[in-house]
Amino acid sequence: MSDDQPPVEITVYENGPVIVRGTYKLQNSERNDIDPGRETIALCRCGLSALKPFCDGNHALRGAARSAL
Amino acid sequence: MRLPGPRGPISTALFAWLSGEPGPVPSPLTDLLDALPQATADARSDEDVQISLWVCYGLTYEGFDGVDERWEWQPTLLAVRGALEAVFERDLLAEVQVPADLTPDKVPAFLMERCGATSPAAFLKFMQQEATIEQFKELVITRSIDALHEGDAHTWGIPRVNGRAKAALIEIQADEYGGGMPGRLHAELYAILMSELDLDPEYGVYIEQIPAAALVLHNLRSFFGLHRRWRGGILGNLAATEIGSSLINRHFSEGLARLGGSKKSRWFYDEHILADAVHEQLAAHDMCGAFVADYPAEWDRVVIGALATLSVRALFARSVVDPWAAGATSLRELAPV
Repeated sequence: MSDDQPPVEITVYENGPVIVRGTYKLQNSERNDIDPGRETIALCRCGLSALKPFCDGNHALRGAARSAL
Repeated sequence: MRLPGPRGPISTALFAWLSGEPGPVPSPLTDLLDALPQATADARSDEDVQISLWVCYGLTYEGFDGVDERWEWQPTLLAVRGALEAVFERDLLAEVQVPADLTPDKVPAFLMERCGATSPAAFLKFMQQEATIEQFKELVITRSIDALHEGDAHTWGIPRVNGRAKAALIEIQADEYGGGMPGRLHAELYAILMSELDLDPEYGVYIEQIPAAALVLHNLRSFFGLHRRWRGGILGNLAATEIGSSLINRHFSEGLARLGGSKKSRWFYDEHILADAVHEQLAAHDMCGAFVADYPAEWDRVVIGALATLSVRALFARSVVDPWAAGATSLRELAPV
């Protein structure tokens, strides 16, 4: 990675996931790599995803409560 | 791909005309098109109009065997297409109302709310829990006319917008095209789904069986994508397609698993669960949010595009569910050979 590489971009979406862009490495707590499957990824931050750590859109099922996210 | 069979007087005249050299519009076709605004009550579900539009647009995708390639940009053909599009647009707009209190800054939240909430829940639950394999295959056949060209109409939006909206659109489209990896294009995943279900993945093979209510899903994208004045509409169409899509595809994937579908057959759906969880955020906030801010005169086009998409999607769902409820097929019956 060169010094002038732009930093990883982590964006928090209102009532939604965290979107990660750029050059990153995704790991579980044992430090084993997780294949992101695509360049830009969405990480769950509501805990409802069945495919964690990725977002699977399940936050939408939370209905009115989601405004708290 | 061969020209499909006609479904009424306009497509009969149009397809016969296309089989010859490019030239002036034959007068019977002109008369039919002049009468069309009164002749059709809803062009969105008119078999004759939708198959004619699908063929006009098809000239810009793959073309047809025995149809001169020059027809694509033939002014007389474009005039005919324009007459069909005028009634199509009229009937699309008749079904759509931009809320009076909606303002551009609220568009992303509005899209997330409205497009996420209008998934036909009963239909999804039926596909997940009750549909037979024959019904599942019917759905795969009807959606093939759109899904085997997934992403393509939205690509026409790329040169028509600039800045942040363009960047977001490209970010989504790159994923639609499998990040540039052959075999990973979403349209190719759909072909795999079809093959796994012993269906023919060649584009257009099932056209005779596919009703107007499914053709309109694809024609709507082509209409928005091919007109710069509807560049907001094609973005709204993409947003309405992506938002809520993860949940829709999960229902389909679980339905297919229940029916014994292989993991490979479910790849298309499983890929969309994850991909569209990303895309819906990019589409609503980065793409549409940026577009309405950067193109303030056209902000309502995004909303109209999304709402028109929801209206034809509801039409499509009814065209599948109603015949099934009556114990019939949702496909058009093939004429006896």
